[in-house]
Parts: sequence; C-alpha cells; structure tokens
Amino acid sequence: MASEPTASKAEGEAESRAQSRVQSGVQSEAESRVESRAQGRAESRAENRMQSTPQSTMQSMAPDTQSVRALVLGGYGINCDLETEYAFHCAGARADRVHINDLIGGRVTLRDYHILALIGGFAWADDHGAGVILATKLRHHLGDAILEFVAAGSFVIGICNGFQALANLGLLPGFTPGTFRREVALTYNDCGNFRNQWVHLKIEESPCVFTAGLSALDLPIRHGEGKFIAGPDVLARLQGGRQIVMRYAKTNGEPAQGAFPWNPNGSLEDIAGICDPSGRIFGLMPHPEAFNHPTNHPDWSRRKWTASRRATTRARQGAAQDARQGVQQDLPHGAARGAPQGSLGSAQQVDGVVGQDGIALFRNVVEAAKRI
Amino acid sequence: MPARLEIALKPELFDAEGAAVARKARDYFGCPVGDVRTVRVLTIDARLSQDFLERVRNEIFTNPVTEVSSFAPLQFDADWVIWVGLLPGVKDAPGETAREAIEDLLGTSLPEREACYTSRLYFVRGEPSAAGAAAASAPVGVCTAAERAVLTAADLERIARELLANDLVQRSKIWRVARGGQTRQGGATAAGQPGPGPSEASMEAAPSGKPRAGTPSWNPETGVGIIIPRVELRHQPRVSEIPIGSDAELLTISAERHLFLDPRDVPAIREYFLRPDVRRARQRVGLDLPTDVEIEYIAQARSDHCNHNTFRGLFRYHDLATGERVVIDSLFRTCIQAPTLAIAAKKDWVISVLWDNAGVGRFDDDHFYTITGETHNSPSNMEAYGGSLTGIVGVYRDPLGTGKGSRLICGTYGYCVGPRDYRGPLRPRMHPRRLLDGVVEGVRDGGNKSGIPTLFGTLFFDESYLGKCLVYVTALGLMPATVSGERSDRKRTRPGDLVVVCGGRVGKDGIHGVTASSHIYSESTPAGHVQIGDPYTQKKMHDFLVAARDRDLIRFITDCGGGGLSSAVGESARFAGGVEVDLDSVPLKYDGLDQWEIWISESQERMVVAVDPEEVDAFIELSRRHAVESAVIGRYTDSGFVHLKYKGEGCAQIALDFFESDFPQWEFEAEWIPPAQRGLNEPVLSEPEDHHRCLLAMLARPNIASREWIQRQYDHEVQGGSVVKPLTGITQDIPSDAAVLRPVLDSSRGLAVTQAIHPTYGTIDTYHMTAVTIDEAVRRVIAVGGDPEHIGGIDNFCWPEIRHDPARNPDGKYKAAQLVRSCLAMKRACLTMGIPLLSGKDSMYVDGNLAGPFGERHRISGLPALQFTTVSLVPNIDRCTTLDPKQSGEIVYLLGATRDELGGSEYYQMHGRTGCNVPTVDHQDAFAMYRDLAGAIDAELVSAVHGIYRGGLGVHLAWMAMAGGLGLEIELARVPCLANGDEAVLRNDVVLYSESGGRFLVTVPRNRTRALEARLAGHPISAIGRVVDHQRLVVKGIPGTGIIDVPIETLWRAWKQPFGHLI
Repeated sequence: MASEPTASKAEGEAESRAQSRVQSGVQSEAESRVESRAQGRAESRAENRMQSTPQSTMQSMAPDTQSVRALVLGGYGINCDLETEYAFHCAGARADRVHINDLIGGRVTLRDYHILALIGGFAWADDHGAGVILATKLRHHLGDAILEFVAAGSFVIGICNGFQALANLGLLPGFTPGTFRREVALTYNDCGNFRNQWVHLKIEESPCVFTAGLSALDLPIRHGEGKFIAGPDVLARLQGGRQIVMRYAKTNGEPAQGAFPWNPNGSLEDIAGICDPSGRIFGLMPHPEAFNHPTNHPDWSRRKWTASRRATTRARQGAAQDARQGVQQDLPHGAARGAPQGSLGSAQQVDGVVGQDGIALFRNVVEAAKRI
Repeated sequence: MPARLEIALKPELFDAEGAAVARKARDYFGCPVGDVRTVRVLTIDARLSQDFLERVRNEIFTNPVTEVSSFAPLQFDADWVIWVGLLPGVKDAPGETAREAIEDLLGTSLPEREACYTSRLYFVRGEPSAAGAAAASAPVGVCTAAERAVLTAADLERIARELLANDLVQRSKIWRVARGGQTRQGGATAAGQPGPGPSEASMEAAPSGKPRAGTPSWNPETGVGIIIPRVELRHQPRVSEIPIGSDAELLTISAERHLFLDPRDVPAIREYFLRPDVRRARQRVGLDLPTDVEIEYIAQARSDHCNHNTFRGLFRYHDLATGERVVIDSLFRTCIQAPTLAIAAKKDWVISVLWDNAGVGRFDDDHFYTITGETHNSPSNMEAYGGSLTGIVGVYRDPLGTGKGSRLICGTYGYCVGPRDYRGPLRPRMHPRRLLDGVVEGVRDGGNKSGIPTLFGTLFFDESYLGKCLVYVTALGLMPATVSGERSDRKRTRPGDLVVVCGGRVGKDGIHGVTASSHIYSESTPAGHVQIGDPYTQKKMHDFLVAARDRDLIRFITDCGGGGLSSAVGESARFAGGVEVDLDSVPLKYDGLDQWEIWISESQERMVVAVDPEEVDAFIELSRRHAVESAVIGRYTDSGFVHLKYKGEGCAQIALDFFESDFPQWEFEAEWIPPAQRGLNEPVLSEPEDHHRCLLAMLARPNIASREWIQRQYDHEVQGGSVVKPLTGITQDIPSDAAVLRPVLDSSRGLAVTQAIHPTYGTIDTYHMTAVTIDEAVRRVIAVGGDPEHIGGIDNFCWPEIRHDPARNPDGKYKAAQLVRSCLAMKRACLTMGIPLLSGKDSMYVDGNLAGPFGERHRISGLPALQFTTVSLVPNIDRCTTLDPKQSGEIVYLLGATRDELGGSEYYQMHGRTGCNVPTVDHQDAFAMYRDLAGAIDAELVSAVHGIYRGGLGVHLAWMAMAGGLGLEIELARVPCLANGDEAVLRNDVVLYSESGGRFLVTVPRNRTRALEARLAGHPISAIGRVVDHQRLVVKGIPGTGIIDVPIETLWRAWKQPFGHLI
C-alpha cells in the first residue's frame, strides 16, 4: 500500500514554505503549489520533485539552497525540463521549472535567478526552424529582461533546442553585448535525419565557465538540426576570440574533421558548442543533462567489468554516488573511448571507468555563480 | 489579401531534404534525378499590412544566416517543379504554429476565418547526361539543361505520387520549366478529391481531374499561385431521424452511412427504441424515432474495435484429428481475465488491471507505473506517416488517462510489413518500402516531439503483410502512488461534476475510424478517417494535465480515442450514473459539423476530465497558462441516461445500461487441423558444406540484419534515465535483449521493457508460436536484470478475419482455431510464470484485397501475430547486464536444451521451407532456471547475458561476438541437446540454427564459474567455449572439426549489408 507522508516530509514542506516567503513577492507556480499543499493536498515526495517544486527537491541534495538558483524554462513543447532540473540539483543548485507564460506574465522574474537554462525539446514543434519561434517569443516579450540579466553577470546555458534558440535570439555568439544579432545558425543535419548518438567531444581552451578544467567529454546528441553554420568572418572571429568551446572528436580525442558519424551533423569546424566573449553564455548541441549517472554512458556495463579487474570498483561506485550528491569527482579522467557506428574498435582500448559526466558542466557554473 | 511567403536554404548550402528526395527517386524508381532544391511555402490568409508582413518574414520565418525568402516566387535552376500541399481539412500543425507566432508578434489574435497554410515546392534537375558529364565532368550545377538527362512527365508524376504526396491527405502539381519563357497556368495532377463535405476556397481557377497529356509550363512570375485549403462547409447542422420500420431498412441505412452495424445487433437496436418505457422516456425529452446521433453512437460503441466482440465471443473448437470438442465462452474471460485476476491476487505489485485505459503496477512505495499497448494498422496502411504518428501519439493518451493521470516515460514500436525490396506482381496501396519509411518517420516525430523516449522496437518482414501492415505502439507512464492522500489509480465521476474537454478541436477528421478498422481494407473504405497526429498540441496538454493532477483538480480523466467523445464521455458517465452534454459547447475547427459528427469525431489530442464545479475556475486558469484549450461541455448526472443536447434541443438519449445487456454474443466455429494433417513435414535437406558462407547469409537475412537506422532516429535518452540502451556493444548497434530506464532519477530502481513477435511459427501451430513468443519476452527482461517475480505482460493480437465464409474466407474456421490455441497457450504461459496481463489489445481484420497483374484482386491475410510486451522491475540498475562479452578469458555457457526445432525458423525460411518441428518450451522448467539465472545476475556471476532467439545459436553467437569486439571459440559438441527428452547428438546446422525456446548464452569470469554452476545446478547448462581476443568467431563442429572461422569484421559487414546504407 502507498505510504502516508511522513513527519520528516511534513517538516520539509514547512521549511520550504519558509524559503518561498523569503524569495520575491511574486506568485510563482511553485508557491501556489505550496499553498495548495498547505490546504492539505500533500503528495508523494518523489513525484513532487519531478513537478517543479523547488521546496521539496532540495532537502537532501543542496546543503546551501539559498546560494545558487537556476531557472529551467519550459512549456510549448520544450521537454528536457525534469533531467535538467535534476542535473542542477546534483550540482548543488536549486532549480525551478518555470513555464514561459509565467515568466512573460510576471509570476516569476529572472532577477531572482543566477542561471537561465534554455533546454532541449521541440518548442513550437520546431516547425519553422528549430528554436525559431521560441527565440522570437523571448525577444519580443523578454528581450530587455534577458539583456539586463546578462548584463548583471548572470549565466545562460542553451542545450540543443536551447542552443538553437540562443543562436536565433543572437545572444550567441554575442560579439556585441547588449544586442540581438543572428550571426550563426544550426541547420539540418547533413545526414538528412534526426539522430540520437553518443559523441566524443574535445573541449577547447576558452573563457567558457561551464567547461573550466575539462578537456574531453562523452555526451549524447539528439537532434535533426544541429549543423553549425557561420560565414568565414564569423568563424574567424569565433576562433580568434576562443569562443569555440567544444568540437566533435574521433575516438582518439582529436577533432573529427567533418567525418561522419563522429561529427554527426556536418557542423563546420566540428563545432558542437560556443560561448559568448565573456564565457557566461554557453550553447551546445549535446545533452550534458542526459549524462547524470554512470549508467547513462553507453559503455558503462563493459567498463564496469573491465574496471573490476583493475580493482577500481570503488571508483565506479564512487562515481555513482558523486553524481547524485553533486560532489566533485576525483576519478581519473577517462579519455574518449569506444567506437561509434562506422568502425569496429577493439575492446582492449576500453579500460578505466566512464569518464567525466555531464554534471561537471553544471557544477562549474554553480561554483562560478557562488563566487559572484 | 492573402500572401505567399517562400523560404529556402541559401543556394550555396547543402539541402539535405532535397538530396534525400533525389536519392530515393534514383534508387527506388531509377529516375535520372540529379538534384532537388526544396522551398517551404507559407500561405498567410490574413489581412495584414505590407510592413507587418515584412516583419513576419524577417523576424520570424527567415534565418539570415542560412535562408533566403520572398513574397514573390523564388527561383532555382530546374527542369521541373513540383508542389505538394495538404488537402482541405487535413491537420496542418506547422500552419497552426505559424499562426501562433504571427499572433504573438501582432499582439492579438487573428479572426477565426484567417489562417496559415504550409506546403512545399521541389525544384528538380536531371542528372548530368553522358555528354554533359564528359563535357563538364562536374556536378549537376555546372551542367546546362541541355547537358542533363531528360526527366519525363511520367518520372515526375511517379515522384510526386509515390514519394512526395499521398493523395488521401495531399495533392500535388507539376510544371515543366520551359526555356522559351512560355507561361501557362498550373494544372492539378495526381490530385485527391477533398473528403465528403469540405470544399476549397482557391484564388485561382484550379482545374481538377485526370492528368492531362501536356504538363503545364512553370511561370516564374506567378509561381504556384495562391492556394488556400480552407474548409468551408456551407451546411446547417441538423439532426435527422432514422426510420426503423424493419431490420432490412436499418441495415440499408447502415450500409449507406458506412456504419458496419452487425446484422445480429440490428434487432436488439430496434427493440430498444420500440420499448414502451424507452419511448415514454424519450418523449419526455422531445425525442421519438432514433436520431442519426444515436445510431452513429451505437455503431461506434458496438464496433469490434471498441467492444472486442470477437474476444468476448463463443467459440466452438473442434480438433479434426482427435475429434476433441471444446466450447469456450469468451476468450477474454477465460484466457485473459481469469488468469490475470488469479495472479494479481498473489502479487501485491499489481495495482490495477482490466478496467482502466492502462494497467498499473507498483514501481516503489511512492510511484506506480502504467502501461498499455495498441495497434494502428488500418490508418497506417492507408497513410503510413499520419497513421503511425496518430497511433503513437494516441497510445500516449492511455497512460495519461489512467488513474488520475500519469506522466509518459517510454514508448515502443513494432512493425510488420511486406519485404522492403518487394518486386512481385501484387500492387499494394503503398510499396512496403515507402510504407515502412512512413511508419518509421511517424513514430519518430510522435515520440521525439513528445519528449518521450522510444526505447525498443521490433520489425518483421513478410509478404503476407502486403495486404495490411501491422503497427504496434506501446506506452508507459509514471504517477505518484497517492494524490492528496488518495490512491492515484482510483477515480470516479460523481453527479454534479463538470465534463471538461481539453486539447485539440473537433473537425471532420477521424469520422468512422473505429468502424473502418473493424473492417477489411478495400478501395471503398472511406478515407475520411485518415488523420495526422499533432504531438505539439498533445505535449502542451500533457504538461498541463500532469500539473492539474498535482493540484488535485482532476476527479476523473480518460482519453478521447476510438469513438471520440461518445466513447470517452459515455464510459466515464457509468461511474456517476449519467451525463448531460451540450454538443454546441464543444470547440470546433470550423462550422458546419452535424451533431452526430461532433459526438463521434476522432479528432486527436483530446482528453475528457471530470472537474469539481468548485475547482473549475482554477482548472481553466491553469489550462490557459499552459496555452491549452479547455471547455466545459456538460455535467455528470445520476439520470441513468447519456443525454445530448444541441442549442437546448435534445438530440440523443440512450440508457447507460443499453450497451451492457441487450446484444447477442458473437459465435465462431473453430476447426483445428494439426500440422502433419495439413501436409507439413521436415524438408529433406543435408548439412551445408560451407558453414562459413551459410552464417554470413543468415546474418544478411532482412529479419536478422541490422536495423540500426530505425532506432537511431528515435530519441531514446530524453528524460535522462537511459540505463540499457536499445542498441549496445562496442559499435553501439547490436540490439539489446531489452531496454532499461531509470524513471525516477534519484532512485536506483529501473524498469526493463521489451517485446517479442514470431508470426512464422504460427504457420505450423499458433499454440507453440504463443508459448515461445511469451517465453522470449520473459527471457529478454531476465537477460538485462529484471525481477522474475515482477513481470507484467501486454498482449497485442493481430489476426485475420476468423468468421468463416465459403467464398470470401474459406479457411475462417481454421483461423478461428488458431486464435483459440494462441489464447490457450497464453493462459498457460501466464499462469505458469506468474505474468499478469496488465493490458492488451486485439485487431481482428488483418486482411487486404490487392490488385494483381491482370486486374484481378487477391485477398491477402496477414499471418496471425501476437506481439507480447513485457515490463519488469529492475531492483538495482547497477546490476544490469548487457549482451557484450566483457573480456578475454571469460567462459561462455549455454543455458537450456537445444532440440531439432527448425520449423518456421529463419534457417528454413532461407531455404524456402517451413518444416514441421516448431520451436517449443516447457515454461515450468524454463522459468525455474530463469529464477536461478536472475540470482546469478544479482550476484554478479555473469558479465554478459543474451537470449537465443530468431536465427538460433549461430546468429546470436555472432551478435555477441560483434557486441564485444573480442572473439569467441565455441565447440558445438558441448551444446546440451535433447531428442524425445533424452540427450542426443544433433547435426551442426540444427544446433546452430534451431530456435528452441528457453535458452541463454552467458559469459562468466573464470573465477566465478564454480559459483555459477552451483547456482544453476539441476538445469541443462554447459560451458561451450571461451572469450578470446583474436576478434574472430571460431566454431568447432561435431565431431571436433572447425566449421566456422571468420573475422568479426566480416560478420559485421554481412549483417550491415542489407540496410547499412540507410540513415
């Protein structure tokens, strides 16, 4: 039978209500939920966490809930909100899932947040180009608020559909801060279809705060329009300003140089992600939030068995725990390994455990946000 | 003044969509197409200023980095131009989002009549001709028109008709690009006619009818013209009375209105309306004779699709060999309900079965999961993309409408189609290649755009599915165990609750979908039921309803599926005891729908919710914030009637208990002829001399070969909980036994999901087909780490018509016996292994009438098929196993006995034979072994686990070798074999390709072999070889000589060869 809400959960609710009052006076969706719960409509803790309730989610995960807040924008066909919220939690931030209409309608204000996350999905079904209508909507209704948010030194991450929106909005590459100008585009994959595939990424030297200290990463891509395009001048400027954050790479970790499927979409210069000149606005096509646990990695089972021979089971288990607790991993960095479709690799290449996970990007920005 | 905006990629950019069209035109039809450029056309039928239109063009619809656009026709160098647009009334989701975007920029809504419509232009050029290529030795772009191959009008019509447009939902036009500057207005070609009722408002004279001899010339000044597929029904809605003077009269009306009423139901229907008490009650609300609303409603509710008349029928089963006779009163009650209730009583994880839209199981203390399966065969057969899209989006509404509503967490698919390279004489509506492309893409867009991972799938090619394809879709959801302290699986409507409909609007689309799917496909099947689902609208509704559930605003929820409002409202009214609906309150896409159409239309993306009147304002306000349309359309009552009104006038009143009591049970004669009596026997076939080439040939069989291209298009990692992916191994393309997901991100529990289907075994005996299919579905979840005590099943039957007719269906009695045997096997399997049937579905008319080469028509019945889906709890995802051997030195064990069971196997099929020794399994013994294997997996004694399925040991050793990228050395002499229950020595090809059930391959680190053997003591297991690192598959035959020694890369190339070029 279903368990009744426990005393500790009730305490959690009381505490979170208190937090809500501390925050801005606007009536957020989250707060109205708290009210409805105060009327005796308690829900199960876990499902609660999945339903945009900052108050309940944070109890165990973020020791310092007052410090860093992330706004995960949802609605209109956007769809990676739950796992992005979870990734921020793992990284020690408090994340709220907020419907675009609540932001436009003023129920929630950007000023209360350190980080804005535009995430994966099919906003307005991507019918007229991926991220196109989302960008129009944001510029039209929230343009000033977003510029103010950025000018205040806050952080923006755009993942997949969110990256497409940032490019269409013109926040990226953001050569001229304070303006919206479209300079780059993410267009239809050269392979002609939507693709879900893991890629190896080479992390370049850049001012991007999200990738500080990282040199390589494996992540999944899931898109039909991820081919990065820009004119030669813009590309040169991106290169000169070290705004190219990550490139699709081959198994050996070197850029794919356009080779499919390592470069899965035909992106120019193998570009998978770029940042603005400040490094605080970051867009990428791969999904870091989908690598929030070691078992997300396609090779985890094989590496578990090969790792056990080297008596590194502890590290593997540690990785599992770390991902949940948002603690910086001290694991040896796994080089990009495993061969994607198109070639047969050799199992002997596979050793060590799954490398750095996608939570690392969230951890970095949360740490950076704490410093401001 | 309407405006037409044309948008295209800049000429210097690669046009991937155009390139795909060009490639398919060359590969499929041999048309010498060089390249194709696509242009998106957006026709804006609204009064907007030129300045504002320019803003619309620049700020919304044109990406300055990649695109060019214009309100005048765009031009690309071309020899031909094709335009493809939707017929009036067909769902144009991109048109609707374009309207949303324009309204947002405008800051106000456009008037109802104004709208946006999307369509496409294709600029087609011929390949460089030999002369052109020699002269230029360069790509098409450099050739002049004279240097290009000549594309004929017939080529273009074929491309338009068989590649770009489906005349059920689209129309196309073709122009020849004249060099002399001739200008002539475009004419319609390959145009379908609008469905009954809708007409078209067009700014141009649109000549319709047959293609003319001369194709019109392209006029670069006017381009495609302005085409507005607006539906205008100049029709005043009215209710008509249906005369019921005699059974014959009602049957005639049934035929005229495509109601497909069963003749046995007709007397009961007439009797009801002639009953004195019914007449008195009707007179009180101003009704007399039955109305068209009522008769249409009854036809929906009584259809086999909604009512499962076949499964609830009386079967007289007669075994012609033994003389045994059995009468089974309702297969549903006997083989589904009874065993499931018996098992549910013993398994406390079974929360809710057999009544709601989906079955409910416990995930953990705080969460329930919901699961159901559906088929969408008939619509997919007619419009592959729209049909499968509507199918998957539709099945998602079942978990959403289960209990108080669950959030969707997973979808799966299964397709049975004709051979992709079919070149035979029959002419199906769509070639299987196009049909498969379409259904694959429909499920892709349905799943991906809903943000729901598509985790697993099956694909089976067989010529019998040329008549009608099978499209299976399955969905899982998750909900909190309680909502406001009450169990979330419990719900009811109460008198006084309001009836609220949420989501999409109602149009003519989807009228008579249910009755048509309960019928055999023929040219006279009304096409009006073909729909195109809209995952965007539904995703918004889904998010809204989950939020409303969490605020406890939902008393009851159910989906508008087959039968539309009639089914959803009618069934929900049973709890309260009645309902009153104002049909004029239902939001419509356009005016002019008759009352009966509003009541039964299957327009998609709608849910019906019962809301407390006290909370309706909060519900509607939340709906508005989520940009979802919700409307109150009535109120639940305790009157005992479904009472419908339109603008205050009564138009229907049906007693709620009418559908439950008064209809005769369907009856079927079932005659079983055992395989030997049907003349089946084992083929006389000697062992191959070249086992190496034989294995490679098996790997390249379409039903064995890699279908990576399908799964790769499906987002299977959204929601962030992927644990075992559908494809695995070092090349990430070997199919996993099952997929595992972590639906609650901070939990270490998982759900394993998989499915199995084996139609060819049924050509021998559907009893064993079913037994082995269910066994396989069970082994698949066990292989990845599922809990054997927590396995739920979903049965999806697709069967040809089983009613005997001497002329039309001469083997109907045999097909009925096949169904009985399948159900009996399922009952036994489920009871033996403790598998409750959490949900299921039957689709009973998998037949088609196909045109042959001489104008004759062939009735083609699909092989009877049971797709069995299993879901299992994974207690600890860290213990999940995959099929790839992990490191050299590990020992390969085979669990389970191999028998001479090649009947219906892939091996016999390769040789064009069927055989008689159908694969079998003893569930009792096998399941005892599965329990012990599950213990071994949990104890981490095995590093890789893989079941042996279609293709047998040889194929599945090859899959494991490819997945691990290492190497395997196997001795067939060590394989445990049985003949007549005794140990036996079987021939090499039998050992390699027999498809006996109940078997696994596992790899075990050397230091754990003893522990494994101890754990599996008493079961038929044997170490048959070891994992090595030479990257070859080496098989020693009996007696001890090497018969296969092949590099893994060679295996992989053979296995990839059939479909490896597809992306």
